[in-house]
Amino acid sequence: MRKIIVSEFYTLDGLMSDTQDKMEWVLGIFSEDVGKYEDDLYDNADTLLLGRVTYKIFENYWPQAATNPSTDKGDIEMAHKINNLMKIVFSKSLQKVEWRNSRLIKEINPEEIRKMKQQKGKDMLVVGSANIVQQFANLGLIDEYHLLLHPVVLGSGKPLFKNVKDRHNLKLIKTNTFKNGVVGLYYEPDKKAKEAS
Amino acid sequence: MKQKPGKNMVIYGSGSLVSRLTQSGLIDDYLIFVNPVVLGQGKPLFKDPEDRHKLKFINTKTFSNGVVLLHYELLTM
Repeated sequence: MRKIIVSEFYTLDGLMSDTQDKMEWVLGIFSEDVGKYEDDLYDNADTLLLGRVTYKIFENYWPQAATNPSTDKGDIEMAHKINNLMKIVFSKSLQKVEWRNSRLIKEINPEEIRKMKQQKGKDMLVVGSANIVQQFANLGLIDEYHLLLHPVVLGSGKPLFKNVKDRHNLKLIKTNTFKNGVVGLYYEPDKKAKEAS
Repeated sequence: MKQKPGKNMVIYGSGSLVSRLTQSGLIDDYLIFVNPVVLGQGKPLFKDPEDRHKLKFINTKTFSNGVVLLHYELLTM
C-alpha cells in the first residue's frame, strides 16, 4: 500500500512557518544532507497533497524555476521533480489550478483518500499545508510524520498541529542529525495505543 | 548567582520563568524531552510572541520509550 507521509520543516516551538508564511529560518541554514533527504523523499513519491496556501506558494515558484537561469542547480533538479508529480489541492475557495499535473478537490473525502492509498503507485507527500495535516490526522489517514526540527524558536507563526482533535500517540521510528543541527524525528501513528485507549 | 561557586541550576517546567530568563539571556542550555504524542492543545513552552532565538544544536539522545532528548545552547542574536 502507498503511504501518506507528512514531511515538515519544524521549529522548536512547534511552528511550520512564520506569520507571513515565510521560512527564512530554513533557507539560512539549508545543508546538502537536508537536500539529499528531500531528493530521496520526492524520488519515492508520485503525488503531493497540498492545502491552498502551500499550493499557491509552490505554483508561483516551481513552474518558472525549472527554466529560470537564476535558479540554483539543486533547485532546478527539484523543480523538474516537483513539476512532474501529481499535485492534489484541497481547497473550498480556490477556483482553478494552473500548474501542470494538478487537480483541485473541494472537500476531503476520507473514503476517496483510502481508495487512493490502495491504488498502485509511489508514496503521497504532504508538505507544509498545516490544515491538511490536521484534517488528515483527525481522519487517521497519515502513515508517517517526518519532522525536521530546526534549532530555532520563532515565537509567533503558524503551528503545525493547532486543530488536531484528541490526542495522537505516535511511535518513534528513528532519528537522525543533519550537519546543520537539524534533527530529523520520524514517527508513525501508534495503532496499539489507539486500540488500548 | 551564576558567578558564585556551585553546581548547575536547573529549571523544570515553569514556562513563564523560562520565557523571562531567556529574554534576559540568562539561560545557557536547553534540554528538551520530545514525547511521541500530539496533544493539539495545552500549554506551550515558548508562548511569548517576542521569543525569537537561534540555538546551537549540541546532541540528542533517544530513550527506549521513544522519547527524544534534545540538547541546545542559546545563541545570542
